[in-house]
Amino acid sequence: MRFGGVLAVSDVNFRLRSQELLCLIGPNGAGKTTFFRCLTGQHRATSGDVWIRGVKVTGWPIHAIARTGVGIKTQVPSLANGLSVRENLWLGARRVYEKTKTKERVEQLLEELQLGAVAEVATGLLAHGVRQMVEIGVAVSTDPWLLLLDEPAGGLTHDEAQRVAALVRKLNESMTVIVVEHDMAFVRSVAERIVVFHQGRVLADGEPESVLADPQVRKVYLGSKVQ
Amino acid sequence: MTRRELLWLLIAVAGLVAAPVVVSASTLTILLIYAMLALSLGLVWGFGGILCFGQAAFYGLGAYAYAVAAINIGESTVPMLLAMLVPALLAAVLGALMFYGRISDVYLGVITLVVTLIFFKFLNGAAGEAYKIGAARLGGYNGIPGFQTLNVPGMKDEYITGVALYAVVASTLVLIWALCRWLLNSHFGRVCVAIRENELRAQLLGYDVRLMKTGLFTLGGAIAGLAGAFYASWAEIITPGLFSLAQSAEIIIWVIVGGVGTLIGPILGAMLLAWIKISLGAQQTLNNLIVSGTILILVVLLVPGGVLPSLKFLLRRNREAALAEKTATSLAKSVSGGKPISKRLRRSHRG
Repeated sequence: MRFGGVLAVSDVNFRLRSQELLCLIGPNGAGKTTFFRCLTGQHRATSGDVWIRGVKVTGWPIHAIARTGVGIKTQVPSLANGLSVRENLWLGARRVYEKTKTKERVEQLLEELQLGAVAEVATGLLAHGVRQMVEIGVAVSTDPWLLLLDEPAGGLTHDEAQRVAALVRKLNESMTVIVVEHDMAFVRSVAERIVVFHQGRVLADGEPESVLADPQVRKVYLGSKVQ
Repeated sequence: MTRRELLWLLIAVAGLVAAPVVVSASTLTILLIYAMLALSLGLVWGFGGILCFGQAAFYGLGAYAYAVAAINIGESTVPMLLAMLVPALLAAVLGALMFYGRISDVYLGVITLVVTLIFFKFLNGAAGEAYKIGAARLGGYNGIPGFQTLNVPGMKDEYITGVALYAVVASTLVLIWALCRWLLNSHFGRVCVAIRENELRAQLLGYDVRLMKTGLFTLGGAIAGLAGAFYASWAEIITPGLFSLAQSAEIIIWVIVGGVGTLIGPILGAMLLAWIKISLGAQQTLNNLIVSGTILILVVLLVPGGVLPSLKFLLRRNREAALAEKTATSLAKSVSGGKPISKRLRRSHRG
């Protein structure tokens, strides 16, 4: 993926196992969010192809890729701000379920995400932490098999981040999850596997212990003092 | 529909029934035709976020389609249907080109306005024998007069005029309003509102935003076309002025003044402003557009959300304040054992 003279993502190629929880890390500008945007059709790759479950989806519109079962929580919360939490969740659930089941699914999500108290509040009026939870709820409301979470702990307090980590682990019981995150405590608490991006390429790929101990990774991203 | 909404609907219907006693049926009819036109834009703009500067194109095309078909067929039933179908087809093609071409915001406004002005320019120059559709001459600047006006279906000599025409237009408007209400409560309507709120999120949830917007835009075109057909039947002559810049601007002003994001707001806005325009009549002291423009500026400055949403807000605030006062009074009574809390406080101060 190229923006003018800048090569944002190049030669990225990795396989995901079913129900794997993978964390994507890397410095700012490494191409993590661009990679998500290529996967979801928000950017069309300038070269190369995107394959999802054996289907070439290069050039597909965003909604068509979403319908293959890909859900995303974007970096900056993207919600229908004038609509309530319940309506936001309803929109996702209704796309895949009939009326009665949609209602049940929305109630279930409100309960699981502990959003019952703000169910009727417009999402634009909510605090950042709650909005993050709502957007994760909206992303899973369509029951995707692949969930992409772009900085789910961004701007959250330690307690809120731990709550989100627990939620991500629970979601991973039924779906494959890729998390982009800078909060290393969060990454350590959820990751089964870590892929490190640097200058648009995969720098390292493996189990958390080995990747985080990699001298190259420590040099470009973590800093040598990090334990 | 809630009981309160049902009550308002009954009041509105009663008002429509009683109105011809006070105002002439002819004036009321044109006010309702404008209301229908404003509703068409209120739907696509207020609920789909599509700011169309060219709603007049569908309105004018509906009027021309009706007049041309009425001259050729000699009866009004099929022309009325064509007056909806032709603008709807144009809206579908134009909408598909714009939405599948990822054109939005100001570019969409410019394109729709340009389409309107192309019609205006073309029809102004479409005079002479060369510009005939069947037996109907387009008539250039002078437009098309003398076509079959609305008649009882199947009975071309039974004209619907005066109070009867008013009743037909009023019933149609209520029906369209009910259809729009139903639509907005449906899955399609709720997705359209979500698209207005956040187009990317709707796409990421798997909704084909382009298709939804094209559908809504087409419906708006059909409603505007129907308003155009009623106008043609009411005025008994149509001219290229229907496609003018002033007409396009007026529709937007009606919707803004009434309130974007509501169905009743544009209806009331159109009726109010058109009534002022008709009342000012043909006098030369005050230009109608200047009056409309002044009202628009005042509304934007004083009640930016439009008249109806602001009224709703005030009513809700008063209701909430009354409820809060009532709750506080009953709470105070329960705390003070039925005595006013101020007396109880005075007594405790005295020891």
